[in-house]
Amino acid sequence: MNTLDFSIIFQFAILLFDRNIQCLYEDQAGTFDWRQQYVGRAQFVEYIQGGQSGTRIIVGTEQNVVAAINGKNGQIGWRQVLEKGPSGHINDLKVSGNYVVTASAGGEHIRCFNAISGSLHWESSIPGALPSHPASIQIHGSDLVAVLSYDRIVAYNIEAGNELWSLALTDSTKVKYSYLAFSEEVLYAVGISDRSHVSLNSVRLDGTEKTSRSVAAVWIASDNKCSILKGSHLVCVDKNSGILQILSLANGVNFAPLVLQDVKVDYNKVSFPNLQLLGDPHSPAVIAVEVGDQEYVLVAVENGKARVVKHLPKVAALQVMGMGEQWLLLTARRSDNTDVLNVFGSDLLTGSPVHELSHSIKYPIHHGNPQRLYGTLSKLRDGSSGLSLLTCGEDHSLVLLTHSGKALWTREEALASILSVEMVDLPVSQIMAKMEDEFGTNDNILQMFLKRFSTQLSQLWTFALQLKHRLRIPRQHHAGGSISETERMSEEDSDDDEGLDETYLTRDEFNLHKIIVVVTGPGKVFGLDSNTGVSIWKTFYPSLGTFHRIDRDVLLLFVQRTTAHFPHQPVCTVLGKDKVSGLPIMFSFHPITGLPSESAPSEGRRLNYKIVNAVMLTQMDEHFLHPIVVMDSEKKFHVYPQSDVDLVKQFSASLFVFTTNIETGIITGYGVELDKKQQLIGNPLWTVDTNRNLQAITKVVTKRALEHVHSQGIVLEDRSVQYKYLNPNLIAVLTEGEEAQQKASAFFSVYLIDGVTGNLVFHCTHKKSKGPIQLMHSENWIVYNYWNQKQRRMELAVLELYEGTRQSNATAFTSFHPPPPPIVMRQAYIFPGHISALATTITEKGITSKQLLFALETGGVLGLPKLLIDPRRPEVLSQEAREEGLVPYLPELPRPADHIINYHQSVFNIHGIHTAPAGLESTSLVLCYGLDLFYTRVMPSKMFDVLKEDFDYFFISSVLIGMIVVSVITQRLAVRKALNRAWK
Amino acid sequence: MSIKTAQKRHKWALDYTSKHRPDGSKQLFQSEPLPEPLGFSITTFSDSGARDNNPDLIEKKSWDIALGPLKQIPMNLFIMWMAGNSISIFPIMMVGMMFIRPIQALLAIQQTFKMIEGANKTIQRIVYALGNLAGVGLAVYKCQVMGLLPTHASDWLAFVEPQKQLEWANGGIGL
Repeated sequence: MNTLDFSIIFQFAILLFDRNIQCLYEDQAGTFDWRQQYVGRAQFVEYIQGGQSGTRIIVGTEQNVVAAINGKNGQIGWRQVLEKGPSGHINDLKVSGNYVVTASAGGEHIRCFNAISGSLHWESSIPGALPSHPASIQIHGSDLVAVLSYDRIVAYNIEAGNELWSLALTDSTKVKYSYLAFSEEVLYAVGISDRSHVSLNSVRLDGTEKTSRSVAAVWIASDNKCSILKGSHLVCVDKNSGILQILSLANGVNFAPLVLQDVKVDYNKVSFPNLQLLGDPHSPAVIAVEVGDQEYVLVAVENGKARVVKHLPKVAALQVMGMGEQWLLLTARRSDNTDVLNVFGSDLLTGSPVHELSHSIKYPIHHGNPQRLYGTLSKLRDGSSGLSLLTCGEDHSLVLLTHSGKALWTREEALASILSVEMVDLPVSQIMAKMEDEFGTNDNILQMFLKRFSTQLSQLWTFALQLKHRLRIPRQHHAGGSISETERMSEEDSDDDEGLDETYLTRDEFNLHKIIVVVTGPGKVFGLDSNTGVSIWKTFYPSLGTFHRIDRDVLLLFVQRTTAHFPHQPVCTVLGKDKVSGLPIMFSFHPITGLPSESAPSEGRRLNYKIVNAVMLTQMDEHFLHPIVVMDSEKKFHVYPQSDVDLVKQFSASLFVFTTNIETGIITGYGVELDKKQQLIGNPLWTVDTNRNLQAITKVVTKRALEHVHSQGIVLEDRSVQYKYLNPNLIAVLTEGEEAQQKASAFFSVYLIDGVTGNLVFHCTHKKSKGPIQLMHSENWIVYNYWNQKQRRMELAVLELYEGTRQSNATAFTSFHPPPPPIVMRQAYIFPGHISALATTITEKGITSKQLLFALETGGVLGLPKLLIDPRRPEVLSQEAREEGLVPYLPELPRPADHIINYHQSVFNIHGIHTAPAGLESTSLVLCYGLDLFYTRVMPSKMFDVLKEDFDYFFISSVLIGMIVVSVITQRLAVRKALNRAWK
Repeated sequence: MSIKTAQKRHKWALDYTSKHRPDGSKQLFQSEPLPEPLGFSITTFSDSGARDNNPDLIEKKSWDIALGPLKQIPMNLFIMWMAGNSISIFPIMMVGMMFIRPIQALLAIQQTFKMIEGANKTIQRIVYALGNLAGVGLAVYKCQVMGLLPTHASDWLAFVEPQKQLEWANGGIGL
C-alpha cells in the first residue's frame, strides 16, 4: 500500500513538474537576461604591478568582497565574497608578493589568497577575537604576517600559513589595541586607554616581548584617530582642540603637540580633522591632515617633532608616489562643476611643480569628487613616464584615468548597493503619440482628417526609413548576457557623442523593454536599459543621504507620473536625507532621460522639518500626477506638489496613514483631517502596542499598490467558491523576541492588522524559531521563512485568508464594516536552503498564476510555483482534491535545478528582488539586486499568450493555402462532372 | 361530359374518330361516341361516408402522435443511465441527441398539430407539447447531473468584479 501511495505521489509530482517546467535551451542563455558583477565600495586598494597577468588591482570592499581587477579593462579577475554582515567585515588587507592577506571580524577570520588565481591559500582564526574590535595586519619582509586582534598579536608564516607565535597583550580590557607597525626588526603594538594613557608594546620578530611602557595622554579618547608613520611615530589628533600630538615610538616620553596655527580649522564639524597616510613605508614621513571639506595640511615628522609642510586649501584627494629618487605629491580637484579633473604633480619636499604629471583629465560630473587616488607610473616606449591614476569617487566608482586625458575604464560600484528600484515603461513612439493625441481633441472633421492623413503618411515614411536602415546595418543591439564589461566601458566612453537611436527608446510591441530606475546608497541614480543592463543615464546627487530603517538604509523612490500620459512628461521622485543637515531632500527627474523635472528645482527640494513617513497616493490629480504626502514629526501633512492640497483634502476622508515606532513598538494609525487653519493634520485613530519589552518589530509589510487580483476566489471540489479575503489595507507586522525563561530560545510573531481601523485580523507565534525572516505579502496570502531552532532547519510558512463561501459585500471593501474574521489556512514546509530575499511575480492583470522567487545564499534564484506553497495541500490525496488540482503534502519543498532562473549565473548577497509586469499577461520582469545584478523574464504559466518561437508559420500557412486551393479545384471538378452526367 | 372525358384521354391514344388530324390529313370516318358500358359511371364518389363512419381510429391515431414523446422518456432515462455522468464524447452526443429531438419536434409543432384531429385534439396537442417539453427537461436534468449547467457560484466567478477600495491606508516603519 505504501509503495502504491508513493508511486502515485511520484507520478503526480512528475506530472506537476512537466506542467510547470521552465528552463532555457542552451542558446537562449543571455538572450533576455543579463548579469552584472560588482565588488562594492573599495576600502583597501593595492596594486600588483607587472607579472604575467599584467597589472592587477586588489580591492577589499565594504561589501565584504576581496577581488582582483584587471588593470587593462576593469574586469573582475577573481572575486571572493566573504561572510555577510559583521562576521565578514574586512578590517585590514595587505598584499605581499603573490599573496593577499585579509583579517575580518576582528581577527575571527584570517585568510590568505593567491593574488593571481584568487584561491584560498590558507585560513586561520584567532581565539578571543571580537568582531567589534577591528584587527590590523602588518607584513614584515616576505614571510612574516603579524595580526593584532583584541588581546593578542599572532604571527603567521605567509607561505605555509602556520602560526609562528602568539603573544598575549596585557590589560586588554582597558586598553584598546588598534595600531600595529614594524620598524626594522621590532614590532610595535599601540593601544589607547580612554582619557588616560597610550600603551606601547614592542615585540621582537621571534615573538618575545622587548619592552612594554605607557605614555600619559589625558586628552586621548578611544575613538581618536591615530596613525603610525613609517613605523617610528605615532600621530594622533586631539579632537577637541584640533592639536596634532606626535610621539616617537622608540624613545618618546611625551607627546609633542603641534598646533596648526596658520590654518583655520572649523573644529565644530564633527568629522574633521582626519588623518590620511600617504604613500608607502619608504616615502618620507609626511602625513596629510584633512582639516575641512577638500582642505588638507601636510605635516612632516622627524625625530619626534612635526612641522607643517604645506597647506592645500582646495584639493579633493591626494597621494604621494615615488619616481626614481624623487617623491612626488599628486593632488586632484575638479574644476568647478565641469567634467574636468585637474591633476597636479609637485615635488613633495620642495613643492616645485612637476609638469609631466599635471594633466586635465575628463572625469564625468556624475562621479562626484574623487575621494582617494592611487597613482602609478609606467615607462612608456618613448622613455617618458606615463601616469595612470585610479580614483575612488564619491559615488563609489572606480575609474582608471590615464595621462592621455580620459578614462581607461570605469566601474560603477554604486550598483552594488541598490536601495530602490522601479521599472518605468518607455514612451510610445512620437507617431503613436500623435495618433493618440487625435482622440480627446475637438477639432472639426476636416482638421481631424488632415491630421490623421499626415500622421499616417509620416508613419509610412518612418517605416520606409527603418526598413532602409535595417537593410543597411544589421541590428547592433543584442542581448545583455553576452555583453561583456569591456563593451560596457567602451560604450560609456562614447556616451556623449553617441546619439542613441531615437526609435530605440520607444515602447516595443509587448512592453518588455523598460527603463529600470535604480537608486543607490551613495545617492547616485541610474537609468538602466532592461534589454542590455547598460546605463542610459546616471545622475549623482551629492547631497542625497539615506534614511536608516532598522538594519538597512532606505531611499524612497516614487513614480509620480508614468509615461502613459502624453503630452505630460513622466516624473520620478527620490526622497532622502540631506547629508549635512539631516533634513529631508527631494529630487524629481524624468525617468527616461534622467534630466531634472521642469516643475521641481534641479538642486532638490529641501523640506525643513523632520519626516516621519512619506507615501504616494494612488489617486491622480488633473495632470495625472500622483501627489506625495509627507508626514512630519508634528503629525502635519505636506503635499508635493503643493498645488495638489485640494485633491488630498477632497480625498482626506478615505486616507489613512500609519507609522511604526521601532523604539516603543507601537503602531499608530492616523486619519487625515483638517484643522482650524485648514491645514492637513493627522488625527490618531488607533494604536497597537506590540510590547517592546518582549519583542521588537522587525518588518512591516503592505501589499503592492499596483497588484491586480483577477480571481476573487478559488473553486472547491464541490464547485462552491471560497472567496478570498482581499483587504487592500492589510498590513503584516513581524516581531522578533527572545523567550524570557530560556535564554537561547527565540520566537517571532506575525500580526495581520487592518491599516485603517487597527483591527487585529490574525496573529500567530512561532516558538523556538528565529530569523533572519523574509516576509512577503500578496493577494490574500503571506509567506515567510525562518530558522527552526528545534529541528535545525529552514522552514517556509504560508498563511492564506478566506472570507468563506459567501462574500459579505461583493461590490466594495470597507474596513469600517469588515467581513467576518477570515478563515486562515496555514502550513509550513521545509525549505532546502537559506533565503536572502523573497518576492513574487506580478503581471498586468493578475490572471497568470503566481510564482515565488527565492534568492538563495548559494547564488541561485529559485522560482517555485505558488501551487507548491499552498496550505491546502492534503496529506491523503482524495479524488476530489485531485480534481481540484491540489498537490499531495510533502514536508520538503523541492529544489529542482531547472527552476533556478539564473541557471549557472550565480548572484551573491542578493537583498532584494523587484518584479514588474510586462505588457504580456504571461510575463513578469525580474531584477535581483544585491552585490550582483540579475535581470530576466519569467513566465509562471508559460507563454500562453504568444505563439512559440518554433511555431511553424510556413508549414501552417502552406497547409491552409493548399486546402483552400484544393477545395476550389474540387468544387470546379465536381461542377464539371455533374454537367457531364447531365448530358449523358 | 362524355365529350370532355374523351378529350381528356391520354395523349398517346390514337383517335381515329377525330375529324381533324393534327397533320391535317383527312380523317377516315366520323362516328358518334360509343355508349358507355353497363354499370360504368364516369362520376366519382367521395368515400367521406366511410371516414365518418370510423372516428375511433382517428382518435387512436391522434393519441399515438400525442403520446409519442412521452413514450420515449423511459427509453431516454435508460440511455441516460447507461451513458453515465462523465464528460466524454459519447455522453455528450447522447445529451445532444436528447436535446435535438424534442426541440426539433417543438419547432415542427405546427405540422404535427395539423395531423392531430378529432374531438380531443386540444388535449392531445397539449399532451404532445408537454411530452416534448419533458424531453427537453430530461436533457437539462442530464446536463445538470453532468455538471454542465452554470448553476454554481464558481461558474460565475470569472465575471465577479474586484471589490472597490474605499479607504487607503499607507505607511510603514518611521523614517
